[in-house]
Order: sequence, then C-alpha cells, then structure tokens
Amino acid sequence: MKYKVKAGDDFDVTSANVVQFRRTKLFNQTLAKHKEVAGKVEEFIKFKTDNPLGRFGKTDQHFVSGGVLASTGMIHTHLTGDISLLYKRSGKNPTIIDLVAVLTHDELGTGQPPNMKQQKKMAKVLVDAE
Amino acid sequence: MTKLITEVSALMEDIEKNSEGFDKKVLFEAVQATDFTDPVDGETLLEQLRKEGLL
Repeated sequence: MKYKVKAGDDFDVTSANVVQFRRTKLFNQTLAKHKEVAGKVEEFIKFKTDNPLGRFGKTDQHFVSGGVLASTGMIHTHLTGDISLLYKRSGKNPTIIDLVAVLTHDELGTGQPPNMKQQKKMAKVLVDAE
Repeated sequence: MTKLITEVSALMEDIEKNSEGFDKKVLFEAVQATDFTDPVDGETLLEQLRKEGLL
C-alpha cells in the first residue's frame, strides 16, 4: 500500500514499517536534566513511530551526506532553539531509532563563544556512557 | 598499529569535515555509543519513560 505521510514530511513510503526505539544511559541522564523538553521528546517519539523517515521540523536532518556521520544514520534535530536531540536511524521493518542524547549548544561545546573545556568534558561523559 | 592510527585519523578527519559546527569528539563518541537498551515500540518506550519519571 502506498500513502503520503503527514504534512511537513518529504518522503513517500511504500509499505507499513515497524519502528522500534533504543536509548542510551546518556539519553536518560540528559533528558532528566532537560525536563522542559519532555513534551517535545514525547512528540518526537509519536511522530517517528508513524513516520520514521519524516522530518520532525525543518532542522531534523542527517549530517552531510557522504561522511561517516551520515553513513551511521547520525541525525540531529532541534527540540527548542537551544536544545538538540542526537539520534541514529537504521534498517527497515524494523527501523531502529537510537536515542543518543539531549544536549544544549553549550553542552555540545558549540555555543558562542566555543567552550573547549566543556567540549572535553562532554567527550568524557560520552565515553563514560559506554 | 600504523594502519589503525591511519584509519582512526581518517575517521576523525571525516567527522570534522562533516561536523556542521558540532564538536567532533562528541560526535565521534556518539557514533561509537553501544550501550543501547533492547528495542521497544514507541508506545512501550513512552510508558517506560513515564514510569521512570522522565516524561
């Protein structure tokens, strides 16, 4: 069966596709820290359940195609102007969506001005999450 | 060892080239993340998150 996905999406899908989610400890920890986006995370999960290939807003996008980030399915989407969700997507039926982390620009070390100390700290947090 | 270092160097270079402003170390670790829970459907995940007080 072929059908058009909801407004805001830019893909046609050709068959039903089971969607499953996984999460990291880091996702739990960072979501607990940013409870203000809990509602947006819930919206994201509901949206992706129905439209795993659809875009959750205009900022929901892979990293530049051709690189390793894109090949692993690494995607970033803004939940607010400052807070982003990093996730990965792989496979089809089931499509697995891996929720990696909920981070502010400052926590990612990409705020203005760039904070090198914070970048190193976040890298260590991610290592410890393994 | 030389081959491994070359491969890691190429990987980091690739990530930096495509980082779009995010920190390459953070992205490298995000790519390597392996501590994922077992897969569940969206409804089950939402239930779990609510029980854990995260939603």
